[in-house]
Amino acid sequence: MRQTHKTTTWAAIRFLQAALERQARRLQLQHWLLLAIRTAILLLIVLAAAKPFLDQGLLGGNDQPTHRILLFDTSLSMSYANEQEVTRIEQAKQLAKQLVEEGSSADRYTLMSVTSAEPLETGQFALDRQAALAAIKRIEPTLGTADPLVGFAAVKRLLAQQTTTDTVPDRSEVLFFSDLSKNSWSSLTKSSNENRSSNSGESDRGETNRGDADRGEVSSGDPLIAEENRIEAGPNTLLDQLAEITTLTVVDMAATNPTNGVVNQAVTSLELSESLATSGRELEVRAELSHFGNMGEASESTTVELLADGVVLKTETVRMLPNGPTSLDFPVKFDREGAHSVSVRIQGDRLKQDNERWLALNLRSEVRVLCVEGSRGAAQHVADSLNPTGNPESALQPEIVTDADVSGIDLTRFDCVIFCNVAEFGINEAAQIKQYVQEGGGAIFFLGDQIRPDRYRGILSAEPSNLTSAEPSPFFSEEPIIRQVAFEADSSSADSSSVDSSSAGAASTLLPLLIGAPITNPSFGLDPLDYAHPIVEPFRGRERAGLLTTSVSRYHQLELTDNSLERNAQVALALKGGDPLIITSQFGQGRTAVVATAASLKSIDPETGEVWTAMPAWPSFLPLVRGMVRSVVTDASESSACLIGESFSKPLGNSRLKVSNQLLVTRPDESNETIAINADQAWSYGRTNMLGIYEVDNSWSVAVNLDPSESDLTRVALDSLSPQLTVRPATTATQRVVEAFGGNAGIHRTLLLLALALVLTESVVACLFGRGSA
Amino acid sequence: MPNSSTPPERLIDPAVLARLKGLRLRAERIVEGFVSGLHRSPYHGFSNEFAEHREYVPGDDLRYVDWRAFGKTDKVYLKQYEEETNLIGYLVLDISESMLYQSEPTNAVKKSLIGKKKGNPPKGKTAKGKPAEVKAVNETHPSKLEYAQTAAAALAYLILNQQDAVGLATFDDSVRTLIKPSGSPSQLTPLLSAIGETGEREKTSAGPIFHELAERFSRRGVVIILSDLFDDPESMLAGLKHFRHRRHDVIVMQVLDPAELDFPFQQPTLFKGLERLGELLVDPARLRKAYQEEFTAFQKSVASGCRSQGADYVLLRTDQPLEAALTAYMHRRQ
Repeated sequence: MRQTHKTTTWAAIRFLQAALERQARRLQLQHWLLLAIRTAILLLIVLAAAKPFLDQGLLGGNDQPTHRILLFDTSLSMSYANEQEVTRIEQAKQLAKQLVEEGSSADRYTLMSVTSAEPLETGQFALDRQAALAAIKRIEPTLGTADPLVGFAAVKRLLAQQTTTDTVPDRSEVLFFSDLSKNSWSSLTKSSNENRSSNSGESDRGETNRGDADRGEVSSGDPLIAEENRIEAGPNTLLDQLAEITTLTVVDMAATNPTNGVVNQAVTSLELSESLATSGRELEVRAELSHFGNMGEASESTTVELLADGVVLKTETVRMLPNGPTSLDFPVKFDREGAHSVSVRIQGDRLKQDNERWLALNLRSEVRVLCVEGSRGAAQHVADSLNPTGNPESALQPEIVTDADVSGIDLTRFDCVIFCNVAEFGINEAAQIKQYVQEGGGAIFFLGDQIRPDRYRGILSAEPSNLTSAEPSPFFSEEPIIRQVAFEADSSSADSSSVDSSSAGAASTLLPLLIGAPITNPSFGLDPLDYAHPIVEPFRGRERAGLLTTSVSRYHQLELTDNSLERNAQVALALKGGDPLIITSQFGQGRTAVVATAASLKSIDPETGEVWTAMPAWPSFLPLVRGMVRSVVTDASESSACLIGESFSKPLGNSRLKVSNQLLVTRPDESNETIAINADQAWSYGRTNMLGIYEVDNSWSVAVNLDPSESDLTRVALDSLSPQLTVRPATTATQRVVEAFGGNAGIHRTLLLLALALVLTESVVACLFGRGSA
Repeated sequence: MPNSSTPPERLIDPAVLARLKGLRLRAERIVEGFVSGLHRSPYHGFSNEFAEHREYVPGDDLRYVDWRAFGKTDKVYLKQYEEETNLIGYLVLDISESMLYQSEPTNAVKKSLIGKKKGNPPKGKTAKGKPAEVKAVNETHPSKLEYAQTAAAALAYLILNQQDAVGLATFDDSVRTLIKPSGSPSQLTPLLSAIGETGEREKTSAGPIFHELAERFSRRGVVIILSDLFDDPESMLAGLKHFRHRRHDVIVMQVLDPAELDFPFQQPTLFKGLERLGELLVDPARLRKAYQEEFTAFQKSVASGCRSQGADYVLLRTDQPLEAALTAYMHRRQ
């Protein structure tokens, strides 16, 4: 065999031996190192490949398939943008997207958007990963408010349904992405819970008409759920029940902002300073600007613009006050009647949506008042007080007719009808008046000596429900005889009526009150009731204007019925003895006022021979009549305003009967929609998801604005939230958030990345080792 | 390869001696000669080099009284002079088997010296120890022993030529030859004979040998060690320390083959160890770095050990001209 090596003698053999030993030690170390790296590579790859098994519980409960219910607060405050112009809702979507991407493939997701402005999308129950990602993309910020309680109530209903669904994981987790604004979350604070618990039996009568009837079953604005939650469970109980079956986590999307350092400027109010606005006159518009989160400092100078029908009329520079809103008055004048719009806007900030507010004005050329007199001269004082000089250019134009003429008059031509001492109404007349008021008309009833209360009852006023009661009514305690006589007579005429039917009748009558027989009870002064009512409010501070000294000798006793609260009935003015003198109430879209005494000096007390009241000749009469007209006449802007998410409607009068059964609604973005008119000539439009002016049939406009409370970005105190809620801050390091939520989805990716890094390291190290030994 | 029959005249290269002419090996430290010479003596004698005054004590030789000082100070002082003596050089030559190693020159050198001879294995003593191969290598550069013998001969000649005395000791694992110092010109002949004579070669055992020689070198002188020092450094340095303890001026001349320093081998090679250290089949390319690290560490330990002992350390590569190495060292020493 051929020799493959050379042979030589060597003196320094001991160094060769030492070198060999050193080389052997080094090679051994290198081999161990390479072996460790290669073993680690294999181990990491095996672990990454074994992720499905790990997900099935080998690493603990966090890896079990989970049904994650993602609630998104899409209220206005979530549109607040950070310095990089990224809104909170976009950050929330990004977080949710990462959470879904990093989650287990066996996880399921249900998405809900909690806001009053949009119905919650249904059909997004237990989505897989891809569907959930697509659904997250579709989530958009809205302009409404958000009630987290509604969201949690929806979750409760959802989880109740889930128990019957086999395809959904048993383990569930609720993640609520929200900025924890005080406006939305104050309902879930501990103090709120205590208050609600104590009032759990009461219904929330102040709830506005949020949401539309045709919304989805699980709707954020679903009044049924909110009502169910508030009345049956209460927030504490609801969260307790949820906490027993799932985990409740609130992802704080505003954690990176200082708690109260978020400054926002907004136009929070825009209204006419006066009622009975007409065209051709200068009107005063009052705007309120608020500077939220100001930390006690006034704002920088801000430019404020007034726009009328889209044209900039005036520009001002203001510094907003630190405490409370800053009021600005702008004069504006429209020459023609009809629909007009006014808006006020300020310079943009990080929440742009609340920097402009709109006011819709449906102006009349004049306020026409029909004065119906039941006896000759009964309405003269009223007409004189409305237009003392008979000026044809006056904004108030009264027209006097007799009660016999009413049936032949189209009441809708008038903005207000004043009935003065009209003895009785026929059924058709009563129906005509009720419809007129229902559709937004105003009606004022001055009583008098001609009045027959029994003719009013059941037609315009309520039937007494306690006619057969043995106990005397406190209302008539001072005049038991008169009360007894009066109601016995009533009893004889209505003996067939039952309590239930009378109650039902009261609900449908024009006036939520009982009209008693006239009584003589001289009163030489009136109780203004703290000038709380708008009718008497102008007298505040003007005690010598005559209101307090007005004498009333005879009047009809008025008693509010049980449904008076629903009808927003208020006593505007009372006699010294406490009996109501003026009662106002709501009926449909219109308002009514009832004056217990006469409007003229021609009603004479048969017992004393004196006039019922000297009020028509008193200096206070003119402002009182005008105040009542203002009170009952629908304001030019009042009925044409609503908040985002609310629906608006306006009954169509007989004169406005449409040939077709559709109405055209022009939205703020100039797009048109048609809505159907139902058989009762009623309609309603609920898709008010945009800010601005909505025009109906190009003849009537509605301004849809934001809820100003949503502009205040003050956060709720975290320690005041219910203990069932776990609040986690949403940091920019989204991976940490995902890990914080217990997600393990990134493990396999991390393992593979580590393996890749080790492969590269192994190559480099092996190359270095080979080069070193070469 | 020089063996016992190496003629003495072969060790004296006239060209080398011509280049060394004029150089003198001076003792850096005080040495004890027996005649007046070039070198400082520990004794104060009566030379021309004034050293100091000393007060007269009875018994002192009156010839050395400084009368002029007596006239000025009225005190009797003796003038003392520094004695100058001759140098005693002790040549210590390592003749162990490891000194026989002789590598083949690098390719570049080989081409120029040997012409078309390519692929020749490293020369030296093969397993069979054929002298013919050694002779062929001599045409390029000598073995370490030849180089050391030549250096010893040149130094002996140099020392004798400067009227100093020189002695010789050769050793492997024991002292093989020991010639007492003498300054007689006739000393050169037995020295060269002894340098050229190499008998039974054994392993290097420098440490014990140095201890023995330190005891046997009775007078202080300059000890010149010519060896590859392939021994345990600690033991060797302990021997050097013994020399220094006996106040010898020590010069360590480490004679190394360039192949031992550079390890130029490329192909797998079977290295057969001299001094019966076994054999190793290795891939030199993979082992070069580790070998050089080991050898450099050894060399550094020897050099630093010598410096710490106060001994001169001189590296002599057999591929470098001897006269150049010696001349450089002599100049530096002077």
